[in-house]
Amino acid sequence: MNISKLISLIALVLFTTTAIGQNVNYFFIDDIYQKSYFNPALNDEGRISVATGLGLGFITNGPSIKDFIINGPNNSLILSPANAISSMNDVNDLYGYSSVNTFDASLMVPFCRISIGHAWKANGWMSYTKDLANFVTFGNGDFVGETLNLGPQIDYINYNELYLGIQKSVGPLSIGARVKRLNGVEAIRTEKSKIDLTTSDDIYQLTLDTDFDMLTSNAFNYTDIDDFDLNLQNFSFDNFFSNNGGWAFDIGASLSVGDKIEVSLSVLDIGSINWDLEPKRYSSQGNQSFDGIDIVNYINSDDEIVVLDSIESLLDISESSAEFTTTLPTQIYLGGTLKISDVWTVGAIIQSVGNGDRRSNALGLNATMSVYKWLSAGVLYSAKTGNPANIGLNLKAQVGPVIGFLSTDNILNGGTFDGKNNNLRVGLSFRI
Amino acid sequence: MNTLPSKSWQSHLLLIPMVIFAFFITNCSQVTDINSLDREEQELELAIPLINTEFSVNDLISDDAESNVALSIDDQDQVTIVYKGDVVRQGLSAIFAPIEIVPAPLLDSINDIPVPFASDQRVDRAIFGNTTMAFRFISQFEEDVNVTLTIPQLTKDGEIYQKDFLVEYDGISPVDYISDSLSIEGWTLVDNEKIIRIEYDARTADGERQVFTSAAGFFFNVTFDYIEGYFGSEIFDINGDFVAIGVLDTWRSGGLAFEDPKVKVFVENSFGFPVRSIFNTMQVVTTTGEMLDMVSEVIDNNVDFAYPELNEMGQVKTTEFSFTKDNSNIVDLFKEKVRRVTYDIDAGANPDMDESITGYVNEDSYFLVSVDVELPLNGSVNNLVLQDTIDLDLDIDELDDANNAEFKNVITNDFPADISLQSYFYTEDGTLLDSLFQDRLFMPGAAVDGSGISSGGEEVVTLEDFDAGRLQNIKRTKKMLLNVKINTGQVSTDPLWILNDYGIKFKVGARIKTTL
Repeated sequence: MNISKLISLIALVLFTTTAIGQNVNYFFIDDIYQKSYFNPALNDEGRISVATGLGLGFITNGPSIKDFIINGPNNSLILSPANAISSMNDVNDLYGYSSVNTFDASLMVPFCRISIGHAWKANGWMSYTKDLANFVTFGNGDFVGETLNLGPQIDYINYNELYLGIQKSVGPLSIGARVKRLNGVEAIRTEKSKIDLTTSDDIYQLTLDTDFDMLTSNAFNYTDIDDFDLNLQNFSFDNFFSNNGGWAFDIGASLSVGDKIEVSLSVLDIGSINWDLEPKRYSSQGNQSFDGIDIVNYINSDDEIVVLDSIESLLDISESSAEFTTTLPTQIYLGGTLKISDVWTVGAIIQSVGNGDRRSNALGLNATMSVYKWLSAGVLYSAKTGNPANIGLNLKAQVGPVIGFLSTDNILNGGTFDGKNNNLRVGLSFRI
Repeated sequence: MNTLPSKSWQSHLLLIPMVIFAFFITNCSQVTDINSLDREEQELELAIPLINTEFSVNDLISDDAESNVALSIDDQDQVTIVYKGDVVRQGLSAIFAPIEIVPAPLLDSINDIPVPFASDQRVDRAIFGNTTMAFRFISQFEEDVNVTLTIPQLTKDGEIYQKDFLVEYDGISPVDYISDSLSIEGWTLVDNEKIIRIEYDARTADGERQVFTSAAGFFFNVTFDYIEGYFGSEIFDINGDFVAIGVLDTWRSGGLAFEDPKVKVFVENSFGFPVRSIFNTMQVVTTTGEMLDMVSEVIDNNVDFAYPELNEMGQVKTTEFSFTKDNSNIVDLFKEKVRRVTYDIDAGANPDMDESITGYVNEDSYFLVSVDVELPLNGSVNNLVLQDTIDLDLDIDELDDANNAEFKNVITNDFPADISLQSYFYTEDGTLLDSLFQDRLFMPGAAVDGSGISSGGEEVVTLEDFDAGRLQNIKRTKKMLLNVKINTGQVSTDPLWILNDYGIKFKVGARIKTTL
């Protein structure tokens, strides 16, 4: 197979999978502790290292934030869902993540390196339909005689992890592993998401056909369609060492060929969390219709006619207690770097993240320059589904034992309203 | 090979990370602006069903125990409305009312007291009910006196009534003696001469028969459990009553002709003597208060009510008769806006004054009259206007948010009559606010076949627009007036039956626009 066909195949795979990849650019920053996030076999050169970091990311194949904004009077900006709808696909995916590495530490001891650390992580995926956006924004008046597919899909978890890692080098080969104790803060997951609303062209009779099943822990309470509470937390130590427990493992290996080439392979987040704190299942199955009030029933009756109550009761959701287990989205990294000169290093990485049929892949090609001994900058080209061409940049600065870096996979639109693929990783470490 | 850049190159290259850093800061600052965005006002349109109902005769005229209306459906599915009057029932006390007290002065030792019956009544035998007696003797004798009292006409189980008293002298003269209350329940009075003879034999200690200075007997609560004889030509006043005709309360104008209305009278009689009707009143009262008399050969000739004869004691005999189109002017009366039918029917005993007929009454005897009005829904309607006002409060908060509402009305009329409808919204003080329809809603009558039977109507669809101004205006509604005009003339000039499966399907949906 020649290279052009390989690139075409890779592109085809990327374009046909849902892209939910995280920032890969800092993989190519040399000699930082945070490289170990990709592979427990990788680390910096210090005997003792302490680090911290923050990562944020957002990607969608639907409208960007800019699509939701229009210009108002006096150069003001106005939120306009109607404007965004024209940019929507029939089904739109939205993925976001955040991770706060509060502290990491490693210590070189005879024969191996030991590492410990804590992180708070949240990642969520949501799929919503254009029908849902149209219904929420415009109502069903323009869709008389049609069926709207309203069911959203959600997969969100928020958890703390404590890890203990070990890395061992044998000649040019390095192997590493981490065991991680997980405690979930909150979770929402839809297992079935069919909510179809049909408005008849007779007198607009409403029919709701549902096959909907959602599991939650500590995040959502539902009473009726007018009374529900979605309470998502940010950085939180809730349930630390108590409920919602789980385990995960990371394994990896790297091989140095001379002092110019390094290749590595890792599999991360092999594990799951069992949600047992306020676990609830909300489900709705069946076909409910509202054809209008039969006022004959109210003749000679003192009962009040309430149309809205009848409509609200269409979405007949039942609640039950149900513990459930979520598997972490497994990450696979295959990467390598080639030092072509004292100044330039090039590299490539393939990333695969996800579970089941929701797995994303990305390919990144990087060139990093050592501007000074204390400063380096790198540029990344990455290809992801819906975002076939992304240009990322990274910066690393070192002052004595302190190293800091910034990294993004999308510098052109990253952090702007135009961006559909936004991510950022910052890190700080200290080593001796 | 030295691949490090020159110093001049380094200074230029340093610009690159500075620019990159600036780029980061600038781009991130754009994200903070999103937190202060206002949301664009967006018009949202909801299409929802409101009403989906079918009115049948059954639904419009409720058939329940609390109202006086019932529906009768025959085997051809033809509907008749039955208005039931209250049942009037009267028992023995209506003929022989209890007498609280009958005094019987005993002027001598033998006294004849007249029986408490009318002069034209002949009581052959009467059994007392819960009746008591007492006697008073005023003795002038300064010694004890023994008294034996006898009532020959009063017997029980073959024994004549006899009672002994002792009037004791207590040292004070005269002695005023009052006996205990004496029950004569179950004692039979046989009266051949319309008197009750009371005899007393008073004797002093020496055996001399004496007569008291003053003596009297008293009968209390004179009632009878059974009376046999001839009761004269007494007129028994049966309480009058009326039958309310509710459905025509709302009739305002136009003509309504029932082909065969009826007033049915049902009588139960367990009194054992002949009785004939006496019609004091038989009228209809219209919605305007006009009273119109029923004219009928039944009233002219009266009706003899069936009665159980002496050998049928305990039975209840029934009599039914009707005022119909064939024997009265009832068809003409019901062309008026009838609101009620009033009646006052008395019962005349022994109308032929045949004294040879021995009748009877007992404690269970009763006389019962009930009157029903039947309106078979077979007739014609000539621009009949029905109108009613109902309380309706439209002060609904949701109307404040609506910019516009379009109501889609889908109506099917199975009745063989053109129906047009309009509804008006009023404030509490009667100020007209708006009407429901721009033009009267017209529902054409369903066509009928040669037998006058409708096979169902066609669907009529109308749209009514209410802008924000109209919606705000009708929010002030406290009353709604409903005006309905009905006409069968365009469907058929012959009288038509209303069948049980006829109905009006009425569906309303709304498209409501609001701004969020």
